[in-house]
Amino acid sequence: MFEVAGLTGLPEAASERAEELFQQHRRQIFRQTDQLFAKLMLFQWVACIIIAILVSPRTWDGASSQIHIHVWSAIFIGGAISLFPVWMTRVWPGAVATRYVIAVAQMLMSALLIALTGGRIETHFHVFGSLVVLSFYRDWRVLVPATIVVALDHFLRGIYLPYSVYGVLSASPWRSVEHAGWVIFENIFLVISCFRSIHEMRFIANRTAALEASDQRSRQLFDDAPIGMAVVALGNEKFKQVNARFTEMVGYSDAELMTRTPFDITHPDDLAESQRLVKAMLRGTERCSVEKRYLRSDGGILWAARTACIIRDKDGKPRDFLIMVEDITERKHAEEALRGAKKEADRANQAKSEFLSRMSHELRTPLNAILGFGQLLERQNPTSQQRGRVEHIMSAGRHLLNLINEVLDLSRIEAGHLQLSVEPVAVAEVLNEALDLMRPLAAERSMDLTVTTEFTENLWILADRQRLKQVLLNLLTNAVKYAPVGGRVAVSVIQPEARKTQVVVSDSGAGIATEKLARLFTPFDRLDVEDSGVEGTGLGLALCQRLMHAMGGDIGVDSAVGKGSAFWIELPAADSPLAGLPKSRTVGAGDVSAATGGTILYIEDNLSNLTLVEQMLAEQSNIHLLTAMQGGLGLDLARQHLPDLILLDLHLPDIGGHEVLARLRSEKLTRDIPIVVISADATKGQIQRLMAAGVRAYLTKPLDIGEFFRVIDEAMGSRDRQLEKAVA
Amino acid sequence: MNSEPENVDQRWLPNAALFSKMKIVVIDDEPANVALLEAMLDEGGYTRVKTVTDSRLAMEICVDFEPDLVLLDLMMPHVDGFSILESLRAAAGESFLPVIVLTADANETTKLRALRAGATDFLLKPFDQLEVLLRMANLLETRRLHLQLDTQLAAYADAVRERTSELREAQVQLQKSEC
Repeated sequence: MFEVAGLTGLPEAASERAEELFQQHRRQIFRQTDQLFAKLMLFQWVACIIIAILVSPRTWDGASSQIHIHVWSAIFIGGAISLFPVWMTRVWPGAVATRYVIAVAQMLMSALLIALTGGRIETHFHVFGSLVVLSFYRDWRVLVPATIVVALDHFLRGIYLPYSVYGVLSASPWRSVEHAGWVIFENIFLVISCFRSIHEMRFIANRTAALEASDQRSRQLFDDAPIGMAVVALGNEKFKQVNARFTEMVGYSDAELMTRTPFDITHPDDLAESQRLVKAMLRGTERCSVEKRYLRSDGGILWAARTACIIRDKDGKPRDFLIMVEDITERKHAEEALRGAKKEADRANQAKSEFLSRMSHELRTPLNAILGFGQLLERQNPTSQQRGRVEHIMSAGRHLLNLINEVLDLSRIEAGHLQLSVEPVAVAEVLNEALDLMRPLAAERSMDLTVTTEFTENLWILADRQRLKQVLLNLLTNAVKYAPVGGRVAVSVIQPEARKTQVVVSDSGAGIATEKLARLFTPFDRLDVEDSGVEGTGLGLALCQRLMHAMGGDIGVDSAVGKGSAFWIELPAADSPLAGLPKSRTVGAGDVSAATGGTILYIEDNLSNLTLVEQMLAEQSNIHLLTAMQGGLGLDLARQHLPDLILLDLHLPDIGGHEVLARLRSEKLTRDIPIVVISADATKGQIQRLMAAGVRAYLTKPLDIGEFFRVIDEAMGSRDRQLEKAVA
Repeated sequence: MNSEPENVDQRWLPNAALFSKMKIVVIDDEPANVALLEAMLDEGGYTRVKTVTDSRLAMEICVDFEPDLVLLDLMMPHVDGFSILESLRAAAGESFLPVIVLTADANETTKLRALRAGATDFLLKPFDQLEVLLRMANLLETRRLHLQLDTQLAAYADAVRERTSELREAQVQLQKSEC
């Protein structure tokens, strides 16, 4: 048997369906072939009669004649052979019996025809033709009765009426055998052809079933998709097909949508954009997504994430649009609510900032009078009693001022207005500065202020130098203030992890109870030491914590009652910016050209940066470098020396770089000195603002040596040209 | 905000005498502040001080009085310090007139705005009196030098003019004698 290809791999439901399709196809062929034979039978009957009349119309017996027996045979036998099967095709079309009867009848008809033509050998072809037509049934079984009938007919008539079958009066019995042999020979091929046909029919049935299944799946996907889907015809732009979710989303029924286009149900504000997108798609964009609004049938608005793509026919020509729509109304509402809430929060924040700024102004004005007249009183030779009272006024006033400043600082950090310049800072340098500032107070309280770790010069951390110092001073002040007179404060620098550095300030104070530790960084919470007589605002540590977080670091404390506390700050480690500098530079292309010598003033608070520039310029004998670590000093030096170029850092301890810049530019003497800003934070807006404020160039840290020399050369060169022009 | 050392007496600002004849104008709408500054300036040895509490009158007084230095508050009703700054700058022209802004507004942008508008210096209230007086002294010194320079320049110009006419005369004489 032939194997039925394509059947394997079909799911059970599909193979059942394939069988059904196959059977249906067969039934159809049986019926069609039955009809064919019905007509053929009648035609043959008529043909028989005509042949009979033509070949032998009359039989002569002497002079008298009568109608030839053949004519009667053609009419009656032919009728008997034909009419019964024709009747059967009417009553049982497609039935097994019908086609067997037809097979027998068809072969009998052959026999009749042969007999009518007087055994003409040519008429035997009718047998072969009939077999072929029978094979139209694609059922090899019908060939069996047909063959038997032919064989029997030939045998019997070969013996008894050889003339009627072979046209001779006596025939060899082998002739019948030969005829049967030819019939069988043909049958072999017809049977093969039948099997082939069946095989192809099965194949078609399987393919059809698989296609149907896949079609079914697609349809189900479309119909049951949780997102709205619609097919829109390209020509008239009307909906062609929509799924349940889509109708549910827009509130229109299937039928209502079929008479509308997507534009009809689009929000007027989104119409132009939708039309533009459709045009873009027709020009070749395969797929586009957009968030748009549809108008529901009830007048409501549907916010949708709409994706559209083009469906093409097999020639690649655009045929339809497929639209996929997701309901995002809720999300949009949530977004709107969120935006509103954010706006509200921003406004509240803005209001808070404004309030604090105003409060600060309003509080400072009377404080100015209090502290001012206090200062006057202090200088007017007060009695010792009066002096004591004035001191109270002054210390309370200063306390208040501190509080205002710290609250303002805190609010600036919280509003994100604090400007930080995070860059590599040498720990030792900052720590030493802070310690130097603390020594007088420590000495006053007879305290031992020691550094227990010999930290190396090479330890660098990423921090804002000023703010780091502020935090260190705060921690040191706390340690000195709250530890008993004669106590001990120790500072150590450790590296708990490879890329982290900690500074630990430990004291021999009373320690803090575990339950109070959590409140340590809460603003205004002084952990019940308000009555201890130690001054404080309760804001210092809160400020420290926010500053450390803003710098990307952390702060914490280990403490035990009776054993003292150890406050630590942690910051990411950094590489030394001096590391990249070659020990001895040879004079090369990067150098300042010999023509442009002169004085350069560098205003920078970070010692390491100063060192770096000093080293870079050390071998330039024609350049004299002045340095200032504070803005005020820098301004003084600028006024005194009128340098040819000023290099300016923006973050300075006393007067900020922006202010130094403004002052330099506002004074007649210093107005024309070229200024190059060197800073770690280089946002585009910042650079633009500085350029607008009159800065010649902007260099970012870490310094690129080549760039540095190029900028210096350029700035000083232009200064020279300017001077020459002025002289001329 | 450092308190004065114990041994400071009336002579705590030694170079004040140098500028005692310099004219100072104080513009502030807050009477207590004005009183404080008056007392401070008096202590500092300044004898020619004018104060204005109504900012609308400020420019008029400045034009009349021709001050050597102005102490200016920023937040005032009617006319604020920024417009006064601009008017002062316009009136002063090329000459060096120091203006110290004293304000309680701790906002960084205010400071920069004031400096850009032409403030010579900027101090935050509450201020330290010694600091104010020292800054004043510095600026007045610069003012004095500027004035001196102007006078000298004028003198040189005169001298040059005189010398030029002398030379011209001599030339005329020479030509006459040659003839």
